[in-house]
Amino acid sequence: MNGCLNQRLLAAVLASLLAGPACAQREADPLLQADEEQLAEDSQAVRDAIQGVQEIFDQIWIPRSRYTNSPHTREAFRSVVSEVRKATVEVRSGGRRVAFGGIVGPDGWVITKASLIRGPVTCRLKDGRELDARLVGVDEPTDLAILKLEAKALPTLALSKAGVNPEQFVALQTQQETEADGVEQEEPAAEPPSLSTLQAGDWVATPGLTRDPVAIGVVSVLPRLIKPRPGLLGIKMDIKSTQAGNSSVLVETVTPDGAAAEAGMLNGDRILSIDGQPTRNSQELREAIMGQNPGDRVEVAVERDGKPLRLLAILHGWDTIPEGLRTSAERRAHYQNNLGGKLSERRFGFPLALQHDTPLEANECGGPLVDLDGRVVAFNVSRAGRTESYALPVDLVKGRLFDLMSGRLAPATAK
Amino acid sequence: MYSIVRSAIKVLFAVLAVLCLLGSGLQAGEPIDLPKALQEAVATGTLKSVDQLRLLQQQVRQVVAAGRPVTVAVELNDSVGSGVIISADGLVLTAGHVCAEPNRKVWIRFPDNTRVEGRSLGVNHGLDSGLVRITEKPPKSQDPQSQEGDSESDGDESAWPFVPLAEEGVGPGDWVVGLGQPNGFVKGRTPPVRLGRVLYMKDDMINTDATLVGGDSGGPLLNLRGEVVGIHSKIGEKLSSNYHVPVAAYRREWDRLLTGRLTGVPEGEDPKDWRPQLGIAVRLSGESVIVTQVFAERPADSAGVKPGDQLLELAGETIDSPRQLSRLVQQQEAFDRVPLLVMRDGKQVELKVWLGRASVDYPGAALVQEGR
Repeated sequence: MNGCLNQRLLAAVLASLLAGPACAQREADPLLQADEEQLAEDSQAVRDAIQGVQEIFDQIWIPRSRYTNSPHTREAFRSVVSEVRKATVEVRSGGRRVAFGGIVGPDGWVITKASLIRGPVTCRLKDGRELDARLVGVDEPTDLAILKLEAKALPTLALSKAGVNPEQFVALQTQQETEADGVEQEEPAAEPPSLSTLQAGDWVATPGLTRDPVAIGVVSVLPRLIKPRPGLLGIKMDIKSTQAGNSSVLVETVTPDGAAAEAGMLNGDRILSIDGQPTRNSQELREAIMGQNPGDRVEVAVERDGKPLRLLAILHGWDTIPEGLRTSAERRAHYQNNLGGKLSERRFGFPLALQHDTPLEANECGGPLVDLDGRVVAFNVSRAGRTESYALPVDLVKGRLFDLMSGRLAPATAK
Repeated sequence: MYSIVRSAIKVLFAVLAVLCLLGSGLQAGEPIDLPKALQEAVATGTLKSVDQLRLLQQQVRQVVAAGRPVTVAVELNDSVGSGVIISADGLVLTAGHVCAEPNRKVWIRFPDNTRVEGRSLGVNHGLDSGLVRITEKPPKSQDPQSQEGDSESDGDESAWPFVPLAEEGVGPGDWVVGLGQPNGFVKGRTPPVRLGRVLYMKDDMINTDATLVGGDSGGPLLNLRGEVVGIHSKIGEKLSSNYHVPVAAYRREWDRLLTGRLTGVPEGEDPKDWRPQLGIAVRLSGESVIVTQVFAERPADSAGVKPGDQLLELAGETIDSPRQLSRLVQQQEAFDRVPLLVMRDGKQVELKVWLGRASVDYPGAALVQEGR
């Protein structure tokens, strides 16, 4: 607000500076009072000056209401998110929100983004309660996690067939064919037409606990496979490790501030395995890491001074690698993508995700994404770039719920 | 100033009208109707109800349906940007920094991963505007209706799908749709749709909050009628710093763009590397200047100059010595189109040369054709 005032003041000062000389000149010469032509010219000069100032003013002071994500536009979505926000939670850690989540079972089941959960977390509900949450399951491919709260009769998200997956699209086409063939249509019109027709360009809103959505956007691309981009451990391997007959990879240098350094790895450590998968040479180590995403947690078994040791490393993306180690193309892409918001660390590698242009903060992922009819169509899973956020289609999430709740996907813990 | 723009617009419309006639049974290229209820809703500055949001959504769907199939990737040897087809005969608007210089071979890749060949025409580096022409013939229309249409063309004529250029510029607060093909074709990905509003605009720049990323450069900014209002150019630190070159700026120098002229040089480049060039070697034989070598795929070669030709006039000026020829060439602009009069087998032949530029990597001996 302060900045706004300063800008207004600046514009006003500029206006008086530019308009001033033109007026002063006219007052100084009484002859001009009679000269209509000169008068017209003068007022033209004043008009030009005002227009010039107006232009500068327009450029530096843009009314808040003009932005797509202005409170004014988001307010129009109030009724759209009114139901879903009742079953939306804030996942909190250390006194701040780390993610959103959605209640999927009335007795305290909450789905959220797994890689944002580090250490003990609580969930804040719409009614103001803040409850301890237990991490029950983690699904690596989708980066989903299930949390359990000690609560009863909570409002839950209606995970209807919101149908944004390609399979339904195919089904629809088949149906059209049979209609064209003149086959009788006894099937009842099961869903309102818009249910299965979410299209690129359609509005999507991300609810929080507040009345209005935290951010809005449109569908950029319908769900597709998002390929993984390998995570980085941040070590330089000893060249001799490439030779056959080894049983481990020797760490020549640990990159400062890299994932390995954060995990406590030291120069001279020998890496025996990654997540239990033996790494006898550099090739095997590379393969073990390549399969992982930035933000993934891996258990690294190392040997130091003849003693075995287990380290837990959270892989980095290439953007956290020191400047000098990146190619110019990588630097450019990283620079451009980071203009305008902090990106999710785990942001690529999903079996199926819808791309939308909502400018989410990294800690606004994990919760439901709704369409203009207020239906949950997907769950926000990452802010992946300057223009792109990804969300897992609701059908994909529904398909993972049982396994996540069953305890079969209990998270790995460092020992 | 205003009248210049006006007349440029008129000229362009004449051009477009002719282009429209060329295409038979044209479905694409028509502006989309803007329902009155939506016009009224957006005129108030902010959308206030779900009904208004829905009206806008229905409109955006149509804009996407019209604009997405003609949003292309513009591929050069080592880089890829975006572009949009704006005429039935295959003109593609893009950003100046995407094609870098006129008369370069480019590939135009459609969202379905098919690609066609094209050539860059005019480039303006000050403005960051660029034009490309698809050099391949458009595919024959699959639509039976267009075959039986009352078009006067012979039925062999077919047209590239395209979106029209907007007649009017944008205003602050206007809703706009951004499309592009960042990083070129990506399997399973259609050109990503962005929605935003015009925050501010001036003669040579539109600022919106429809977000862009690197490879979007050259992609279209569309209004709610599905018309091109701007071409993506650059971004800044803030998420709201997305800049587009207005279509009016393309129109102001349409002639230069269409004839493949170069304005300015790419940022950070030495203008010395952008001097005009013919691409021949000559010798003085008595009073005549005779061509001894024609460098392959250089301007003179493309214009049809042959070793042994006697050079008479360039751009209307008599050529009487190699030194004077070189001076004459330097007086032209790189990528200007100049008449060249030569004497060949006792006959005067008038050629038109699309000048190139003298690059650092002047072709070596391998590319040189021997003189007669």
